[in-house]
Amino acid sequence: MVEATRCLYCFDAPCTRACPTGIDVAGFVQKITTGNLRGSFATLIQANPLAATCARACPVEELCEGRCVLTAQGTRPISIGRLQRYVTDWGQGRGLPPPEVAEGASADPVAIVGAGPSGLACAHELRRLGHAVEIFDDRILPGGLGTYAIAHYKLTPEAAVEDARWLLDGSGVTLHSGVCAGTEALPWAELEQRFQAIFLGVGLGASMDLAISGEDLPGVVDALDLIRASRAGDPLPAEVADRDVVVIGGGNTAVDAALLAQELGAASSTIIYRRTAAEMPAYSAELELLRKRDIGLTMLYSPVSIEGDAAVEAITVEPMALGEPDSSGRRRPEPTGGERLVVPCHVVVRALGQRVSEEAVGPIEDVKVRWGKIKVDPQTGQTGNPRYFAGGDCVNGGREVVHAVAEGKRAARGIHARLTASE
Amino acid sequence: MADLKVNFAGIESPNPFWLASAPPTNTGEQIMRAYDQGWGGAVWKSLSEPIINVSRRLAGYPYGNRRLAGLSNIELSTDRSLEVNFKEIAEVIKRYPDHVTVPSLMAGARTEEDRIAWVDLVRRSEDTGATVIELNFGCPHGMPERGMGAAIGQHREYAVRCTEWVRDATKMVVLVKLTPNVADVGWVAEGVQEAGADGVTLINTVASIMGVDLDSFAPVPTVAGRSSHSGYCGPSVKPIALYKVSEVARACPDLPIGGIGGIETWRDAAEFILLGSTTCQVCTSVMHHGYRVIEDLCDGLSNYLDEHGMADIPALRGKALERLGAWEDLDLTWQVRAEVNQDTCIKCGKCHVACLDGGHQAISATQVPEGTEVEVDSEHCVGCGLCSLICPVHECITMVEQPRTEPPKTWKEMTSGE
Repeated sequence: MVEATRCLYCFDAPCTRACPTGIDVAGFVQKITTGNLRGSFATLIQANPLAATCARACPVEELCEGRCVLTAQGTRPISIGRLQRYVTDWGQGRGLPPPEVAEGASADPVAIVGAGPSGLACAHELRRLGHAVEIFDDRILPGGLGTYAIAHYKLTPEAAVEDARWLLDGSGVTLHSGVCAGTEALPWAELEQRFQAIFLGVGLGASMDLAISGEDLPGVVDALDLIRASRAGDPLPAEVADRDVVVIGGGNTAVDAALLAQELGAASSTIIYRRTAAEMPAYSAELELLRKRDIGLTMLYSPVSIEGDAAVEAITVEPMALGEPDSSGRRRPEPTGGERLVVPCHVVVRALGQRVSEEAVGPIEDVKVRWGKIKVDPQTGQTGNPRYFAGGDCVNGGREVVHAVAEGKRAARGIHARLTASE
Repeated sequence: MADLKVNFAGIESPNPFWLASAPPTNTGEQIMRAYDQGWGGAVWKSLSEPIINVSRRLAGYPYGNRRLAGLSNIELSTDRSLEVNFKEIAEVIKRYPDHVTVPSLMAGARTEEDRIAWVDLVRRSEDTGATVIELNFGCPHGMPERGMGAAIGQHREYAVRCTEWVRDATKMVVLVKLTPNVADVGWVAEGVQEAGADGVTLINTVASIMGVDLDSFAPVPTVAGRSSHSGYCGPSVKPIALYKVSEVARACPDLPIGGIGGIETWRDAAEFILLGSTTCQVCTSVMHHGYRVIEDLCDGLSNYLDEHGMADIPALRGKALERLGAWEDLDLTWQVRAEVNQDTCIKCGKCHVACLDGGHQAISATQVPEGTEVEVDSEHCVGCGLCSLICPVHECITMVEQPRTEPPKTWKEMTSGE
């Protein structure tokens, strides 16, 4: 309450413009100050049905809070994420339902592949527009990466699952868990036969390789496999406790993996990145966490080969220097030809980013994958195959939950336009 | 969803929220934009013989991190021509027939010319298609020097006379806007009701001086080095307005009331309705935040009614009046005592010093490394509540009802023949 009253209630507020789902931030905060929590909750979930998940998972300092005008006055921004969490906890705790969906359902049901944030948001929006929806997901629990791969300190799997179930139950969506589309269990042809429109929210399956020698040695693991296994309580892809761990990459997943390795009792946990901190895609708050936890960050070195006979024993890296900016606008690292380093370690974690698993969506006619992402019309989410739409990580290459929600909703409107036009 | 429609003195309004006569209702363009955003009605910026306004005309009363705990003005009625105003009123009424567009009128009270001026304003209002007018007997600044505004509202016989003049001239619904700057507003309300008013709206602004510039010695707002007293409104006048509304509600139980005075949120509006208002007029909040505040006013009030199982506004109206009365009817044996939640106490010691110097010396203090630890002495605590009001921690100090040791007894009972 005290925090909410600090909000200036800006007009056409920049925090709202910074939110991919366009939450009326000043509006929901204002409603906290007047004690209209029910209205505040409605404001949030109308714009973003996964507002509870996003309240935890969003990098608010990069989005809404980062744009708070109070920072221009040299004061702390409004704690929008925490206020959002307060309101969504209140609303869901009181059993308030998701935004109302249509009572009936049209004859044309829509299939959604993937019960992650984009799929859930797309499903709910389609239900509001009057379509019957069935979701197919290869995992046991809904929530996608929110459930399986976001660092615990942000979002617990329990909270992600709870939010997903709240949305599914409240909108009359059928979820088929443990069903992997595109396999014998559910071939694409069968989906196409039953559904006029299919939304792909399949996320990113495969990790990028280092493409260096020694990569097949035991001890070389993918960051997401490590995070996933740890969250699920499954056996880890490599023993970490009391061992030296090197993480390759510069994104948030690299940071999460390095932090996790430390939590799991690694003797040391070090990130090796081929550019400098200024070019790292990881958010500043995540880098801050690295410093606080004393995790090593070796910059301007790139892997050359992984050494070892039966398992990883070391990684050889070469020094780099920054040249001209590349297509990403960041300065391209180039080998200096300087002396190579051999870093002894037992585990090498690859966190180079991910791509769409081409084995999964490749067989679908005219669904084009470029640079590891599915190509879509950004306005409608439609792929090259008019029956297929897509959104979330598999389209944007791995951004925030809130982007996935926005893309899921957008695709729902695209699907609705297609289905109603053909009627 | 609760029904927010109200019937005010025979006038149907889509919701109880009207813009009060003020700068937000200067022009037709503004009012139509406000209707588009959800306002139920609007009382036009007061219409009178042409005036000229001064340049600096507003002063704010900041308190803590609030920029406008209150606002005061020395603006007079409209400074646009009556022809233009009435033309725009007709246009708004034509385009928005389901909203309540109310011309606000001002003229004098003394002479036959004054009567003719009222009748002329009434005729021209009727010509716009208006079905309801508001007579401004309230502005405390500027206009009284010309025998208008509070110069009428502060003299019951003038208020009655003008109301009669207007009543005789029209069948439109006549609302009278009252000034709080009187000893007994209920008595004035009775007078105008008898004279034929269909309803009253209150409060107009409170006569005030907002402050003095310590370097120039000129009060604010300052116009070329001088000032005059101003009309005070905004959140900080709400307690005065609530009281004045209750006075009218108790004096004139069947007189429709439009509450005005510091209504910023739906909670404020609910309080005015609980004390007998049917509509709620808003100005300062709009001047501070824009017409968009209507969204939470309606949404919050509707949710509040739903949570209390009430279907509409009449179900809420006047409910607090049953619990309002004379001091002598209060129970003298009912007791509360302060209790401090030591788990949430931040050890600032403020309750200790407040009670020591401004209360009943019932909160003791012990210095500890984190600050000041406090303890309430129930023997000395009288239950005044000061500590709970000044404590910076939400709900850390609560006033807890004590078991009864004596049966209920009021002052009236104690002093009436026992």
